[in-house]
Amino acid sequence: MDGMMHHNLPRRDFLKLVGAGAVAAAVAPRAESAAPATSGTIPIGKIGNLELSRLMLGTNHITFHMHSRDLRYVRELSQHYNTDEKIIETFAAAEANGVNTFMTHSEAKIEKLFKQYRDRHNSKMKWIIAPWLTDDGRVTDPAGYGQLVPKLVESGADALYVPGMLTGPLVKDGKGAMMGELLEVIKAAGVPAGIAAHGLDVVQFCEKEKLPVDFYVKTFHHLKYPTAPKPEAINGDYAEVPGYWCRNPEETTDFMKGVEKPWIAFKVMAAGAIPPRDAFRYAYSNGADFILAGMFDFQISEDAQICRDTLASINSRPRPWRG
Amino acid sequence: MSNNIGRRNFLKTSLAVGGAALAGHSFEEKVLSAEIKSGTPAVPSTDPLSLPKGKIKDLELSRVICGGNLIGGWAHSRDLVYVSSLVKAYHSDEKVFETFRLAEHRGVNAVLTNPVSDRVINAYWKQGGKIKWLSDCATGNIKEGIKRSVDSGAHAVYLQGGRCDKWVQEGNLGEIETALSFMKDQKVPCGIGAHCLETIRECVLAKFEPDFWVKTLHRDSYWSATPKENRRIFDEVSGSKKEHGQHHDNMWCIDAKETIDYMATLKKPWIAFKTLAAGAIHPRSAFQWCFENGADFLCVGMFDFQVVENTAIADAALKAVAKQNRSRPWMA
Repeated sequence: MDGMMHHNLPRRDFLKLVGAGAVAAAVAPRAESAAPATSGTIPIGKIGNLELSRLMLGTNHITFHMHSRDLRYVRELSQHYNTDEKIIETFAAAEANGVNTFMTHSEAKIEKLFKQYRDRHNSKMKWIIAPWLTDDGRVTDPAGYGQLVPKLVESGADALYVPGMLTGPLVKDGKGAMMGELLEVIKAAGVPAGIAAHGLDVVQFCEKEKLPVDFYVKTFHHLKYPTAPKPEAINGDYAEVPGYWCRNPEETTDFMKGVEKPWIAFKVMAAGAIPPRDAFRYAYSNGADFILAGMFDFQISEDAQICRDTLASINSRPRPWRG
Repeated sequence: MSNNIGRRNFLKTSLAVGGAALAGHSFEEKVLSAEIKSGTPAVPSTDPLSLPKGKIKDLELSRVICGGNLIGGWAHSRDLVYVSSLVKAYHSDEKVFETFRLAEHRGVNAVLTNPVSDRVINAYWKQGGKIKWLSDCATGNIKEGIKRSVDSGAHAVYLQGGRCDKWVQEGNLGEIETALSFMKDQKVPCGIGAHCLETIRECVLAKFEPDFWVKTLHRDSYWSATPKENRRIFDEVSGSKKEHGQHHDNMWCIDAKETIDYMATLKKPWIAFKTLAAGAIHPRSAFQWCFENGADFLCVGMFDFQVVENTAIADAALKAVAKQNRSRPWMA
């Protein structure tokens, strides 16, 4: 069919292509700032001692949390498209294009596949995980973290963060201090510890209480896409219908100006409704240090180039690069 | 879509043939494995189905027809910019063949799509596939589209809804008249398509006599439908808007009741399309309703993993409607 990407490439050619790119990415000098990169690399930032590409590979499209509004078939289509082999190819395509970090919530299947990719392909890709799911349920307290976190670090996690699905309710229920305990569990395992949030109140709480946060993972997108909510339809930090995940982008920009920790922005495309050229520019130019983007294998090359072009053309930001 | 039940059954029947050695493999792996062993395309390992048929002139068509937008990659996914690319990436030639084979196995004997799909359809026929092809002729100059379709083996041709809507919007009925005449010269059934009821009305007033109509029909009770107060005639061919609540590739029948009432007065077969509003309405809420309200055939875009459930729903819907007196008699 016309318009197909990797499906048109014989598999051997595809592997040759991503293999060559992976080698190039591994040996290319790495930028220390957001300066323009050579083809195949993406500018690097730092969280702790970790050197991370400013564009990171997200997970929802391969763990099938698709946020596709009322088009329910999209999730099942993604499940059929993203076979285990295709997911491995996606990791390879990301690394070949300079995306050196994969972020995901903890989930047995995706952990197994990523470990398999790293082991079999001698990959240098970094891995940031939100401890959240075990085989027998969700982990929601320090005791659970105490069991899961060491396992994840042992499996190869480079950094860990407390997911927004956990932090939001904790803050709203007046239990925000528990985030500090969860962060301490992560830090005790010897890796950078982050806090994710859909609501800005979580970040505000952490800053006010001076919790030991190494980085933030905060949603960020504008509200100028056709299916964005009208102001009167915004009733919480996020919603599936109408689909939004950052209710207050201007306020977020303003607050993050004063935050000195690195900021990984996620849901920058509002789960597919904002084209990457628009979304990436909006996120970087308003203060994000890194972007976490769900990308199918056939989108990665173009998105990586958009990222390079965008970073090369940004002259001013409301906050300095913090990572 | 709630394909879970259908998919479970689908996999169960696949497993029965695949055997224990293939128990952990996907459906497509099982099909491919069977093909490798036998050297011929595998027959899908689910129960066959025979759907009722109707006739457009001498052309016998199942009452459910595969839509071609999913094969061509026109997903109409509102503002979700990645879905069309995903659809195209999914549909390798082999996946298209697999979908057609399964559709035929489940009683669907026709596909309605664009002439750009002629290559893959012909490749499928060379493998022994029998699916009939209705072409919308919408590529390049309309006469070229018609000629290409017929030369490539189309069993019926029609003027794509978007083209006809645009011509009517521009007051250019002469284009439709000329194209219809050219289609009739090709000696295959020929139709007129429309998203806009006004297009059908104008064609009837102009006394055009196609062999069949291809008109959108769907309910408006889904979240992404355009609010009633913002619906405009010719929305579909007037471009997508970025503002809240305006048309953005999200609605194709803005006047279902009027459409039903008007189509009841027409005596030629009616192929209803966009019956699921491009994925927002479940087939359970669409198929029976469309048949009850006058459609003779439904054009339905189906992924391979939806075919079993959708054909089962269509079969049940047709059986239910057969017990009723439709206000519009079957015209095919």
